[in-house]
Amino acid sequence: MVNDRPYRRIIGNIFSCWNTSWLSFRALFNWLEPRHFVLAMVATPIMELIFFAFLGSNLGVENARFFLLGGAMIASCFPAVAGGVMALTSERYFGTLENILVSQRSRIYLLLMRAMPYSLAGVLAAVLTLSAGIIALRVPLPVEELATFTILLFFGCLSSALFGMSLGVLGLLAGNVFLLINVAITAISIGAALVVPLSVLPPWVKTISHLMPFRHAAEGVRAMGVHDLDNVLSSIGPELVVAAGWALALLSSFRYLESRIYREG
Amino acid sequence: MNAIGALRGITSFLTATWFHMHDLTRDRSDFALNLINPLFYACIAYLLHAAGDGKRNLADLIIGAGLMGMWSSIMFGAGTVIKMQRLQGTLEFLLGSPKRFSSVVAPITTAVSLLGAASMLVTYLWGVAFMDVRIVLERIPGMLFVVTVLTVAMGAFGLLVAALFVQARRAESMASPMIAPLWMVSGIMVPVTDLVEQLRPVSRFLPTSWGAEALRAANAGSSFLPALGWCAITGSVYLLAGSWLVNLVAKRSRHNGELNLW
Repeated sequence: MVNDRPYRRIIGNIFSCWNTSWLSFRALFNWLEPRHFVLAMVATPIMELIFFAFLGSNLGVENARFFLLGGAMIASCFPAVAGGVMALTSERYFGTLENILVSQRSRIYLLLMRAMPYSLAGVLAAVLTLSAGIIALRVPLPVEELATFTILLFFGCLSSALFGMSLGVLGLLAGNVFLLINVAITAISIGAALVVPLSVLPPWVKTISHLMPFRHAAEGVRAMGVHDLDNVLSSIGPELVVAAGWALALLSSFRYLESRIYREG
Repeated sequence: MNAIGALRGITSFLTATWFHMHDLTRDRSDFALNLINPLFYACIAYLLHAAGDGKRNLADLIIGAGLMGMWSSIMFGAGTVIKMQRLQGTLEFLLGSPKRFSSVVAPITTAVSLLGAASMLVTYLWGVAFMDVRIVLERIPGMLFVVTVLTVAMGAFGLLVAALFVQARRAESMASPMIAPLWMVSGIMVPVTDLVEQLRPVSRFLPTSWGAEALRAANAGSSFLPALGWCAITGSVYLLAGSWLVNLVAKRSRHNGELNLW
C-alpha cells in the first residue's frame, strides 16, 4: 500500500497536467469552432496542396503522391506550430500569463504537456487534408500506409508544437507573432522538404534542417512504400531527439524569461 | 463635373491613398510579413524549377511568385478593410462621412494593392540578386508601366473583395482558402493555356491573368499592350462592380439598421 503512493502521485500529476493543458487549449486555441477550424486548417491546406501538385506537374517535379503527403504534413504544421506559439502569447493577450509565472508547479509539468493537444489538432488537420487530397488528386493510399503516416505525423506534430512553444517564448518579447508563425511554417515546408524535393536543397540548408521539426518524420513518410516498415519507423527516433531538443530550448528560454521578469520587474 | 472638380477628386483620392499607405506600414512586422512571404514563394519556385525539367523560364516563375504575394495582400488586406477600421474605431466616422462609401474604401484597397506591388518589386530584385534572373535595363520602364496598371486594377478588384466580406467577423479565415485557387486560375505561375479547358474562360475575368501575361511579355521584350489593355478593362469593370456593391451594402445596412453587424 505504502509503495503505491508515489505512483499514484505521479499519475495524479499527469492527469492534473493533462486537464490544465486541455483547458488552456480550449481557452486559447482560436480555431476551436469547427467552421473556423475547417476553413483555416483544412480548406486552406487542401487548396494549397492542389495548387502545388498542379505547379509540380507543370514543372515536371516528382508526382501527385509527393505533393499529397507533403501538403498533408504542411496542414499539420499550422495547428501545431501556430497553436504552440499562441499557447504562450495568448496567455499574455488574455492577461493570464501572471498566473503561470506565480505558479509553484514545475515548469516541466506546466509547459511540456501543453504541446499534446496542439499535436493532436495537427494530426486531425493533416488526416482531414489527406483524405480530401486523396479524393481530389485521385491518389490511392493503402490503409497500412495511412496508419504509418499517422504515427509518423504525431511525432512530427509533437516536435512542431514544442518548436512553436519555443518561438512563443520569443513571441512574449516580440510585438507581432504572426510574422514568426508564417516564417517558421514556410521555413519548415522548405527545410523539411515538404513541398520541394530534398535533393535540390543547398547543402547548408540540408545541414540546418536536421534541427527542424518534421525533417525526420518527413523522411520516414517519403520512405513509405519504398522501404520496409522497420526502416520507415526508425525515423521516429531522430524526430524524438529533435522534439527533446526543442523541449529543452523551451524550458531554458522560459526560465531565462522568468528570471528576467523577476529581476527587471 | 468640371475640370477643377475632377482634379479635386483625384487629389483627394491620392492623398487618402498616401495616408492609408502610412497607416498600413505603421506596423513594421506586418509590413515585413508582406515583403517576406513572396520571397519564400520565390524560393519554392526556384527549387521546383531546379528539380523539374527546366522548360519554364525562371524569370516568369519569379514574377509569378511576386504576383502570388500581391494576391495574398489583396485578399487579406482588402478582405479585412472593414474589420481593421472597426478595430481602430474609425468605421463609424467613415460610414458617417457625406461621401459615397466606395470613395472612402477605394483608397484603402489601392494602398493595399501598392503594398502588393512593393512586395512584387522586392521579389523580383531577390530573384535578380540570388537566383540568376537576368535584368535587361531597357525593359524595366515597360515592366514598371505594367505593374502600375496592374496595381490600380487590383485595387479595384479589392473593392469587390471588401464588399463581399463586410459582415465577416473572421474575414481572414474566409479569405485564406480562396487564395490558392486564385493563384491557380489567374495563371500567374502556370500560363492560362496550360489550365484545364473549363477554367480558361474564368481566368480571363481576372485582371492578374492579363497582368501576368503582360508582365511576362514585357520581361521578354515582346508586345505587352494588348494584354495590358485587357487588364485595364477588367480592372475598370471591377471598379464599377465593386463601387456599386460597396455602396449598395452600405445603403442597405443603413436602411435596415444593420450597421452594428459590420
